[in-house]
Amino acid sequence: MIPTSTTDASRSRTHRGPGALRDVVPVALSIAPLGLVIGATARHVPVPPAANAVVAAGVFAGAAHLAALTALAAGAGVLTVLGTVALINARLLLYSAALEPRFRHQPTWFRWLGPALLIDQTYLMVTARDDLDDAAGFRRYWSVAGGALVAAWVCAVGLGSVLGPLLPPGTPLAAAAVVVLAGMLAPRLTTARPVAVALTALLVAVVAAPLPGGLGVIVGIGAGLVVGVLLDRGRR
Amino acid sequence: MSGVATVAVLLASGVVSWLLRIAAITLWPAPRLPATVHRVLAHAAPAAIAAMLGAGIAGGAAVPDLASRAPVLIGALVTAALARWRRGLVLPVVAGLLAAWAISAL
Repeated sequence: MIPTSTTDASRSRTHRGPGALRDVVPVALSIAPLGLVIGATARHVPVPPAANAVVAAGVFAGAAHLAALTALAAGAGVLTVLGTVALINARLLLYSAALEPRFRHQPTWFRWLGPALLIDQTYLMVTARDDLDDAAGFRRYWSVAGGALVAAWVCAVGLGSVLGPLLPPGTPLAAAAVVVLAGMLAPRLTTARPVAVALTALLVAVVAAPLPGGLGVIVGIGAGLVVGVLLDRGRR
Repeated sequence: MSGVATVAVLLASGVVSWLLRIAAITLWPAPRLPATVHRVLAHAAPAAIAAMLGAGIAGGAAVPDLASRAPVLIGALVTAALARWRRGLVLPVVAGLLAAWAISAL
């Protein structure tokens, strides 16, 4: 994947489109299950499958999309949903700051539309390559890889929307959203501080769950952030 | 909330996500965010996902009534344990769903 000589680099530039597609396949397979769960979860809100597919392309962030659907199903208000989405996707701000040099010399249209393809996976894909220094090459790789991932993502969500209602009664689908969130949270808990932040947010959200309008989620997030900031101060 | 309003909120979620994506690239190009913002943002994702997880486990139930949520809790714990051990979502999620289903069936 990483060129070892000038010749390899030239070849890599020439074949960057297919190379991007090759890189995308395993990534697309890894995000498909979450897309299926999101599609199936949407029927509990309910959102028409076509509309949910449009939302999938627009949000293009599994955890945030799932959280929005779960919050709406629990009767949360507009601000709670949007606030939760913003907090979950706050990391995108960090990614965009990190990738700003790659977008600095791009055409204006690409600086506005290109970042729409920014997710954990596309960020990791481009930062893992050292052959994307020229603006046109980066643009092509980013467009092909991101476009293919969006297409795969929308297909997975659409398939989940279709298959969800066909599942037999008793299928633990209600647990699916929760289980997926647990699977996304666990790998982030690599040190004591995120563990403390997450544990606080989780326990407070459980206790505050009966609050109306999904307020318990906001209270939980706030408590987690406070603990994080306090731990940061204690460390300095 | 009506169906149209629900879709509108979800589409607004997409707009919020897009604004976050272009913020440091197009709106206010800033290769480096202030350290304070960086630190708070670093806590945002685990806090938000954990809070959603807590709300999902509780399912709106008060603490004394949480026993009925045991299958979901067990499923989440199994998934989290497997996800820590092995990267990727497929196996942990399938195992967690099976655990939740098994506890429900008991």
